[in-house]
Amino acid sequence: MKHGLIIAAVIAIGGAPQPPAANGLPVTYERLLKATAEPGNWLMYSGDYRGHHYSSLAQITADNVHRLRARWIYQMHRQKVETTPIVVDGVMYVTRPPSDVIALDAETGRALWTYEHKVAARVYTCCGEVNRGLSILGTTLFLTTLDAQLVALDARAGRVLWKKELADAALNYTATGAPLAVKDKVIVGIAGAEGGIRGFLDAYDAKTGQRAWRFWTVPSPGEPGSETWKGDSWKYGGASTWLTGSYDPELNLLYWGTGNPGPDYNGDVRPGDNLYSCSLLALDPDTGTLKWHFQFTPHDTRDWDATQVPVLLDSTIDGRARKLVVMPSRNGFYYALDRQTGEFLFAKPFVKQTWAREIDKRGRPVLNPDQEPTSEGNESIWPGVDGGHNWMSPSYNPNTRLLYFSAREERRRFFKTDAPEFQPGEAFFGGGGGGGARFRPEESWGKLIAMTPETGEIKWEHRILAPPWAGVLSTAGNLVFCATPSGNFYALDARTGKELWRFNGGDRVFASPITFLSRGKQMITIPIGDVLIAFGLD
Amino acid sequence: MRTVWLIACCWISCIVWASAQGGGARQPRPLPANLPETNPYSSAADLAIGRKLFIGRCGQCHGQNGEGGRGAVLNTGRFRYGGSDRELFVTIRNGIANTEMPGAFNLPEIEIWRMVGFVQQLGRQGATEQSSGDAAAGADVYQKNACSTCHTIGGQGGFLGPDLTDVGAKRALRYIRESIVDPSADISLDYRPVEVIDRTGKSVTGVHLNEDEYSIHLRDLSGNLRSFMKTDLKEIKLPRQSLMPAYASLPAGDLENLVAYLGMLRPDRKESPSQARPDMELWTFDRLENIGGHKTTVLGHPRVIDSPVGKAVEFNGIEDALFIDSHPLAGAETFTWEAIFRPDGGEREQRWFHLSELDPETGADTDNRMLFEIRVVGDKWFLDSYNQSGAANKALMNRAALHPLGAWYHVASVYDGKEFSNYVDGVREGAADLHLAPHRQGHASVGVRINKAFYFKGAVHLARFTRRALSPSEFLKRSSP
Repeated sequence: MKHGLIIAAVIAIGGAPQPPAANGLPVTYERLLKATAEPGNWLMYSGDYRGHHYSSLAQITADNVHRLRARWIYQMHRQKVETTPIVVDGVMYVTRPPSDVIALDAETGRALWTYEHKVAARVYTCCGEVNRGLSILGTTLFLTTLDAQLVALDARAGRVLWKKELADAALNYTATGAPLAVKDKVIVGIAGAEGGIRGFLDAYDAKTGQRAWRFWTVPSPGEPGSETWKGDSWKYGGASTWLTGSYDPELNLLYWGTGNPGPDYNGDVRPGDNLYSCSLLALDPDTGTLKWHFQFTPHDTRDWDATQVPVLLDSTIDGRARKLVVMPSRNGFYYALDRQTGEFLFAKPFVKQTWAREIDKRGRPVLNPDQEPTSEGNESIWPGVDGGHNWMSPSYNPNTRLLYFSAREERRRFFKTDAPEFQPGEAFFGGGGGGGARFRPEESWGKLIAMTPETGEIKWEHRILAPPWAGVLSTAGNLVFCATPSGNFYALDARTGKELWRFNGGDRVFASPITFLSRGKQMITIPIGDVLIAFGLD
Repeated sequence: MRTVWLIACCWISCIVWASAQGGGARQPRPLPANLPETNPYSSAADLAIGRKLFIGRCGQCHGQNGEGGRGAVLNTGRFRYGGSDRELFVTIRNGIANTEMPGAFNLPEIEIWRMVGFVQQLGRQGATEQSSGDAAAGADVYQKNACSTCHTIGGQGGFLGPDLTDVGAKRALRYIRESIVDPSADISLDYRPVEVIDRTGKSVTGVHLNEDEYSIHLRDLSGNLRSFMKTDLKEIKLPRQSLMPAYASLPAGDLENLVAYLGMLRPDRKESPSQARPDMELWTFDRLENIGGHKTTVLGHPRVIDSPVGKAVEFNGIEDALFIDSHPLAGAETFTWEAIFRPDGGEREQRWFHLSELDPETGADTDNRMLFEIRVVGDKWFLDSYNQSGAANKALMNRAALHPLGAWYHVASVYDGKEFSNYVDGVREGAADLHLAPHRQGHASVGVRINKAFYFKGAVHLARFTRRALSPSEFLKRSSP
């Protein structure tokens, strides 16, 4: 009966219905390719391969959103819930820190099964024991774990099909991101660039767990890019891949961001650009071959990972049709690149930034003086260590043709210590970047930006009290949903930025909202504090 | 409306150190297994690096040479939370609850040790921080200037300004002096002034308590808690001036006397033992002869083991136990008692952690007690948490909440002054309303009930005693084996 409703809803919205098996499984690769044709489901981390985090559902609209009410709450009893669920035909698959999976009835929020992963005793994480979500292919869910494993679970019962160690957790390799299923493979990133790892991106055979390829994000001596490191520094050079990338099936290219070089704040031991840290990589998903790369912040010393969601869109720039990949970077500039060639098109600051005079024609920053971490602490640097933007999802809305994303305006203090010796299994910072000084309100706030992606022009912005950690969802109901660190989940008119609705969830938000259909009715969920809350029209 | 909120953004106060994947709550990791007593990294080169680390991370509050400031003085050799290498390691690593001192949770151990080494070096300066003033006369100055209208000492006074009960331990004398003469130079984070002006032009001034995008909350000058919707306000001002008047014209003698008086306000000089206690006490079960700095009596042959969560003491369920010369929650009106342990089966009823009050006259155990117990059911167990003070008592037992034996668990008993609740791995299992009067001094047993009955089979890794009700998110983190 439930399936019938979902099919009816899908047909009503105009998508091509897929014959569902039990609980809408299997989720084939063909269905993932056409994920937007199933707006009642949320089939992957960003909702689709293009990183749009957008839904064509339009039951909840700018006109009726004032009737949105909390419908259920799922208690996680865990800190820092950063997960984005997957929804397939009324079943929500959601992760819970550190590395658990729960299948929930999307209508009621009641748990159907729970998989608890026993994390190895010794795991080092820089930033909390978090997990950001799952991927699904066929009837299998793919989970990365804090102790750097890839786990395949049967979506119907939460049973383990296979486990694969990505790398040694005792050496500070850890995994927090949602994998991405492409064709018959699962693409998986790694974290730990604060712990002296050498980063990579992996692909595994979805059926067997056999590793199909590995791309090292720090080249070894002799490989292209190795000239950008000195001595042994490449061995623990960081450049992790901890957030989910995007995929263009036509070009058959995978787009994946990389993190900071290590040690974070003292670059003296690693003179050079430190490729491929703080970069966007375009890779062949079948072989892991690098097609092109673009480095946002060469020789980073402020922890400005480029692990943001790459957003793919097709448009015209300067009269020329372009396949674009765009990204608001942690370094405070918004970038547009040609995703076929990697050609740099333009960059524009979207928050106050003090470190670069400009981004030159090749896409390289022209540096300002005195913007490096110092021994006594440099308090003059904008944006802060957490960047102008970060891992929280942006949203591209094809109706308004605007890109929406959370932005963080802040000044922070950066300092460096003597270059740390690398010690296996120990943290590897070489300094710090944080508060220290007590910054005034005018030195730290947040906003949601609506941007014309072809120009970087800010159409409107919605200011909030403090720099946010919440992602954005935009919908065909002309709505944009986001949340504030003070716990307010809110909806804006996607065209004007006018606030239409809000809900005080009572705790900080470190996650992105999603939407789906349950029994034919549109619902919206977001983790707030340590709970997952679902909203629907009353 | 927008103009209101452009002005009234929140003040960022938290000290966040490293943040590759995003800020937010920092979680303490369990203390490293085999944490040595003495600093393994104390060469001259280590100290030189430790100095740089200290300057980058600590100097802003504690002074570049440990001379103190907003943070405690570190060059006298007296450390409020213990001055052994190991104690300093724990303080730097975990921070100090209810103070502005953050923990360095994600720093490498070697870097913490290097800072410990440098802090010890600072302490060896043996500086004495002395005021030329007369503390007794300073108490009169305090009185004469009606400081107690806004400040509290030992529970007496107003609450518009910071509590000064232990200001001498927290702040350097020069910082205290500066705060009297120029209170706006550095305003305590919890006492930032705010002024709101409503649409009719009426203004209310007070201490900023909370704020979000839509509302703002303050304690006004009369002590009333006030809440305002921003839509009703014309303006919100966050002045850089403290609410405290500047006593710049205080005669120099009076000022020094007042500084001397405030500087001697240190809880460890108080006579009441319950007030002298730190807010938090950590017991690591990594040896037998001394737990949490207290002498033990060993029964049977408990042994120190290496486990996936670190060192632990293992008990055989027949005759093994440790008696510890302390009741760490004596005098506590509210508390959180946490432990990380592994039950291994055995007898059905096991009383594995017992805090018992002693009659000060007779030295005998009274009936007042706090207990962690378990019941073993097949290959599972459930928790029983018991609390008694006078006629009030309650056992919290959730027979349905069964957990597999042989694994490591975090358990907690929490009392917030009204409600007693218990948790396993952060999940609440039971709660009851209860009025518990604080216990008097006493002692503790681990591995058995205080009367040597109901022995425990399993192991205990850590215990922490906090003199307030913690929320589950503040609980000790158990590294999952």
